[in-house]
Amino acid sequence: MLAQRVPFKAMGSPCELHLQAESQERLDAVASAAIAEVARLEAKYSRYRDDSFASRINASAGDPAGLEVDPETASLLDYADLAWQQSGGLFDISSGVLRRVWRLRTGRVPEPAEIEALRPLIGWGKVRWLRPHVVLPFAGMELDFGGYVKEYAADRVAELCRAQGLRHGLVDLGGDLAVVGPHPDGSPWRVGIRHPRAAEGAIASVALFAGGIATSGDYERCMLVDGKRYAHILNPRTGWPVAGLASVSVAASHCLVAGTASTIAMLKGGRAGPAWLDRLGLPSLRVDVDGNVSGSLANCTHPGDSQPYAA
Amino acid sequence: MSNASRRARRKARVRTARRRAQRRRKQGALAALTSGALALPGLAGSAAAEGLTDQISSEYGFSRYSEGSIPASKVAPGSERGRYDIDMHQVRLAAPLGERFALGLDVVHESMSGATPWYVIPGDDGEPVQVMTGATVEDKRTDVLLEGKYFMDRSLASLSGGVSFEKDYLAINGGLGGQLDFNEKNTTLSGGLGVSIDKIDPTDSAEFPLRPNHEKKQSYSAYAGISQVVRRNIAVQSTLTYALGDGFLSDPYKQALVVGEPLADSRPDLRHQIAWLSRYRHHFSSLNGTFHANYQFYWDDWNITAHTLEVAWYQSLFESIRLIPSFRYYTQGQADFYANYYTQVRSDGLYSSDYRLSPYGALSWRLRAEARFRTWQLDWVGSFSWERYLSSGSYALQSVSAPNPGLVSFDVFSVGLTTRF
Repeated sequence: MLAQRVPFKAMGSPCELHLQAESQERLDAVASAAIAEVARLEAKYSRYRDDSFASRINASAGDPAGLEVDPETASLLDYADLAWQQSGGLFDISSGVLRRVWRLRTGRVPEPAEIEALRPLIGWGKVRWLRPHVVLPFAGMELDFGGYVKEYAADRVAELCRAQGLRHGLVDLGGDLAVVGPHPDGSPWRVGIRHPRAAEGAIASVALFAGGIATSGDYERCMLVDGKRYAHILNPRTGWPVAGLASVSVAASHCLVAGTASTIAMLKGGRAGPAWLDRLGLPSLRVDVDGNVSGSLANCTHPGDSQPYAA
Repeated sequence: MSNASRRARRKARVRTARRRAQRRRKQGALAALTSGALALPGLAGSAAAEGLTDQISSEYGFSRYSEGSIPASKVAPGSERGRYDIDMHQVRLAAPLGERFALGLDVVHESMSGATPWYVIPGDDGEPVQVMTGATVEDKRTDVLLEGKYFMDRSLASLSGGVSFEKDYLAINGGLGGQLDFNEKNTTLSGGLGVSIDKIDPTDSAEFPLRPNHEKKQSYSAYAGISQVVRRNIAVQSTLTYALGDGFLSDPYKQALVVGEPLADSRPDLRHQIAWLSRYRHHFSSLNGTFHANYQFYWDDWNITAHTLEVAWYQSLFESIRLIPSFRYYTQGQADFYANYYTQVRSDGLYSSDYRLSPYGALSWRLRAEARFRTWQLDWVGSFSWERYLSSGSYALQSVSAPNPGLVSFDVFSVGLTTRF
């Protein structure tokens, strides 16, 4: 059995495949198929690329005829609709327009009036989604798949590896992880969860046999203004960055479900977020902005006594 | 259609979609998100496990079937009371060949011994009593079935061929089937055809002059079914099967008493059969269990009408154990020409006192336990089951004045082990 780590960059993040197979040819073939799959999804759903399908959807905003979408995009929109419903409107793929005023690189906090001006363009409830037609009724509206396409890609790549005959492996797309299968001896993958305030420090080590784990945090892509931290996760109701939680990690049967749950918890905030996660019943780890740690994965700081999670 | 009415329609559909989504919210956030994720292309790996896998699956099972003795009051004086026992070994292998093709091999070996019902006579008090075959029958049967499946994106085609042999019996069978998914795999249509050619050379026919020599029969069958996922946790299926038997359909080892004289079991040489099976599956995620209910209606042109009702509960425990209690009720009416014994000669020459053609009802219950475990770097499923089956004239839906004395009761114990590698 050969093991190989394949680092690559995609979706604006460092990614890594940990694969194990009988032969080098197999490893090479699966790795290139996996990287190609991530590249395909990035090209299709990136909002930074004018030729992406996401950009085509956004270019159709204001056109009452809307746009007919392919089955994969339709399934992603169905999922976004579901997550919007489940989160009481917090998980909202139409909230990306807020980035026009929250330019984290500029280090400027927008005026309330600027946020207010964007309000009419935000709200999944305003989007008319009837498979296979999506209609963004107002010019300037945008859909942003960035909030969940990386997790979806991790699950797809893990499934692709399994479909190609791999039994053992782990897919890491910028911290969104999906397990192909446990190590050949049946032991789980040890996944370190990063401390939200210490770049290299792990706050917990989680044993992962199957499924996926995803982390949302206020530390990746944020800005500090006058000592206050502004995260990249924006609340569609207030138009402001999330507050209360510094990071949330969730383990689930799929990386996509884990990522959706961690994002919703971040959006719900310091008190409601952890309570919602506990009701959800998935293993999780929460760190609030004061450094308090909670959740069932919080006890897994020592690799020996972690609670294995099996999907 | 005007633009305005088109818009109104679209609005109404949006409202319906939203309402549907709101209903979904009540099902529990995790279940909703997980089923949402599974609906995405390429994420339903575990669901696709029913389809082509790239692992070889192997299975071994052993069953012991033992019939209960006939009560002394129902057996002719001096006849055997002990009945049939069957030990069954079953091996199943399934392996993928390439990306779209899978091959399955099933081998079953049975060894049978014991006495079987022969014919029925009137007892001293007028009640019918069973005469059993005197000698203990010993036989072995081997079945080999090879099946190939070809998987396409939305459909599946299968071709199978098999052979079954005993020292007095040889059967060759073949089948082809197809399956088509649509409506995002929420609807599946299936259909198939089967044929079997059987050759019967009864043993000891020199010793028993009533036994026939060299007989043949052919069976043909066709089925069509539809399964539908009604809601995320409810699925229904309905299948209609038609079968035709043509040739020697009598039992060479049975006789019937006709006006005091034993004659060979003699049945029509054609039999049209229709079975309509409906299944209902309801998963309760809060209980981690699934309710199964099946009903089958059966009719054939020997005029046997039968109903089967089966309910089962699949309970998962601790993620690795599954308990499946089930209960089945069966009732049938008799074949037109059936009698315990005949006091008059029939003009059509048809006679049978086989309990399987008699009016009766049956109750059976079964408990099956499965455990998943991992050892030697392989995943295993071990299973154990026990079934008890009781049949009686009094269990039938209609009233039965003179039930067949040979009605059977039996127990089946099974153990099995499955792994993939």
